[in-house]
Amino acid sequence: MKLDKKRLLMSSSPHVQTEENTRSIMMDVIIALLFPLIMAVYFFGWRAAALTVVSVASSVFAEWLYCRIAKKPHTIGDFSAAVTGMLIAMCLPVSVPMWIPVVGSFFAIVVVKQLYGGLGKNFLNPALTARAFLYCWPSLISVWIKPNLGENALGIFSSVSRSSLSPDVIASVTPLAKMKLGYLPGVAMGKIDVISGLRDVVVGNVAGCIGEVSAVVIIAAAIYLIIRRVITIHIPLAYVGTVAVLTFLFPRGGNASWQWMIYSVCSGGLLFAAVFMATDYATSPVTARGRVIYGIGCGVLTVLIRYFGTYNEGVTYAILIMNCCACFMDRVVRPRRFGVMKKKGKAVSVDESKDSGEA
Amino acid sequence: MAVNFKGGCHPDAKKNATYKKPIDEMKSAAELVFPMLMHKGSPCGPIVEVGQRVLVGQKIAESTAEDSAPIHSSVSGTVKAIEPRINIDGEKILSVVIENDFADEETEPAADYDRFRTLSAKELASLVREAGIVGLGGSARPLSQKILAAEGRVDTLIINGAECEPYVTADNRMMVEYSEELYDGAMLIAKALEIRDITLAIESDKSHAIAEMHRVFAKKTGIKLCVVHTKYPQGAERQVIKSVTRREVPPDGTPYDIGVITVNVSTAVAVSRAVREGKPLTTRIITVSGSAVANPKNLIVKLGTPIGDLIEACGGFLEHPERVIAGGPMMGKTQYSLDAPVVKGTNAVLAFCRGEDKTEPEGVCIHCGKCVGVCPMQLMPVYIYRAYKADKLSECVKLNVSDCTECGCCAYICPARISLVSAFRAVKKKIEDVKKEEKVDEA
Repeated sequence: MKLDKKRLLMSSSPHVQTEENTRSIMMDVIIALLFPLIMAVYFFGWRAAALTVVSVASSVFAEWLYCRIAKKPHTIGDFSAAVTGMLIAMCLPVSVPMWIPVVGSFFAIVVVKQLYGGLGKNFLNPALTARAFLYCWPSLISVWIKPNLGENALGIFSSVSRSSLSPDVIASVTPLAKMKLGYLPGVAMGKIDVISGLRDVVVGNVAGCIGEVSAVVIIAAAIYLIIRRVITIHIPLAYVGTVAVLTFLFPRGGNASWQWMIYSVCSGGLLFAAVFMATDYATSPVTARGRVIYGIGCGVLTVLIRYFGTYNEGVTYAILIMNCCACFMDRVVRPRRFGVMKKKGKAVSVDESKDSGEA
Repeated sequence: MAVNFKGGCHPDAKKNATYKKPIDEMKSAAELVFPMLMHKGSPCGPIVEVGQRVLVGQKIAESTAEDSAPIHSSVSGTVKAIEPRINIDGEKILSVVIENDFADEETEPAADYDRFRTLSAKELASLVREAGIVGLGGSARPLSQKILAAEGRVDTLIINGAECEPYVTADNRMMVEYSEELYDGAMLIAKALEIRDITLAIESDKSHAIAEMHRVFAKKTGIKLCVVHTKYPQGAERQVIKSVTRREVPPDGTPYDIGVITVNVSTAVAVSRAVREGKPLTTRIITVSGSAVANPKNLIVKLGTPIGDLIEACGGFLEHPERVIAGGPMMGKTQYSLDAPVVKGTNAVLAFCRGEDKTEPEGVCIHCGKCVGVCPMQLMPVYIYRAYKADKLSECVKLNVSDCTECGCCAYICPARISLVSAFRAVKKKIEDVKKEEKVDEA
């Protein structure tokens, strides 16, 4: 029996690999993003889907174009550009003109991602940076539409401006804008009671960005991503947990702690960002401990910006600030070296090792 | 107590093909090849001549070095040649080639002594040394060296039955079929080293072995059974010690530093045979499996048998394999010749069809951190790799690349399919080269 060397593969161990690859991970994120997208179509009409399609198409095109001009191998097959495109659409209000996601996509893909070396090398989250960039047009990206009015009011592709909309279509403010002033949305309007107000923020029957409104759906998407091992629970839990604790301890406007806490957690894209934005691989730490600290940092900054900043939404800038620290955190928060306990360089003694156990 | 360690991964076990198959005899090969290095350590020198007749169990090569183990013929026959032959590392090294006469004529059992007396550590060490016994779990380090190093320093003996490599079921069958010898061998080592705390670690998926050991331990006492979590690399020395005792072997340290000695189940059986029957190590159990093998089996194989004969004993190839591996799929080595003989540390021979292992071209690192999560040595493979790519050796040293055991978890889990292990091997080699140069400069 002889082996034909031409048909043999010589490889370095390990010779087996998991089935999961970059493409399947990105595919899982896209699937998870479809959850809030479906809710968005339900609440805001087909225009939400149209914006997402435009955003994805322009992201993928930007990636393709950049690779072509820079003479780099094409990378659209890893679906990461499609994910960025979806994320950009998800954090815009449904009323934006169609060119807004196109501008955002090009900025995110070309400037934030590719100029820093491409996938995995950027230090800022492309989608969030694009959102921050799009605040160049504040009047365009802060026209909030009341949910359940759908395309009847907007049209799928027509351009929308505040003046072209009838007053009862425009939601004067998002829940968070009201909370900025220290009172709970439903209660303040005097129309609905606290419980149905809470139901609205949990289900998503409120004004807001395309992807951020429905808390339950985002939690379902998070569970999907965790089961598929795309993300670990550390960052979302630490982030949301920190915001929950801080808002419970320090409610504003004399509201009941738990009401204020639930409104805070369910509003302003916090859950969406904790699940989809803060967990971005390239811009978050790699160790479990680092991720917890990172999540807590995001939470503290979010609450600080919401309470003391001028912006209503703290999430975008909180995560972008923590993005800048992620690389540093990976340098400082390193796993304990196997066989070395706490004190640097000191070998384990038997008794110590029994106590410490698993972290 | 969590019978577990941090990190690790769950590759598809694929043990079903051979899990329940009793150990099979196989036809002896016509020609056997004994490389002068069948273990890890210093090589032996041949002590036979071309044309000389040798018997089963006759010593054919030895060395005076401490980290060596003599080699014994596994068949009777004539020494046909002493020449460089290919081994499973893909190198040509000096080997004794023996033509089998199929008479299976045996030598007289080695020394004449009271086989049921309690042995001292020194006596046991010299006995297992003469028998050529090495760590059969894959380390292939001479057992005598281990026993001498452990003497007077250890309080715990772990018999390692955690066979975590996918496909491989050799140790599992050993526990099911040779449980009495296993118990005997373990007690011999424990008594010689005056150890009271003896634990047999078995992974939770090996229900047959667990049941068999429960049966044995119902009658005989002294060994605790510890069912450990099924996870790769549970059977690695540092990880099995951590799981069973919660102790961690310090970096650059040995298990003896924390009072532990580990011995593989097959090694324990070999010790029992060497002491009770005076038989040197000339055979071992090998799992032959993989999608390209017609009839996967657990075989009792004479050392020195070319791997091609093992494949033939299992019905040959179903189709031309894409790769042939000596050892498990996580740490084994790919082969390009079926002439390479099995050695003392070979626990499996695998042959894969195209597409059995989903390997893809290397992509770019997406910084997902999965490698950090699975590393059982608690390293940060992603950053070691980046430092390696940037050619920053000192950064690699700071990140403790020397702790890497090359278990393969990081490369297994990497969604970008980066060959992390081969990168780390290259880094470690570079660091060693630099150290050597420094020594030369000092001298």
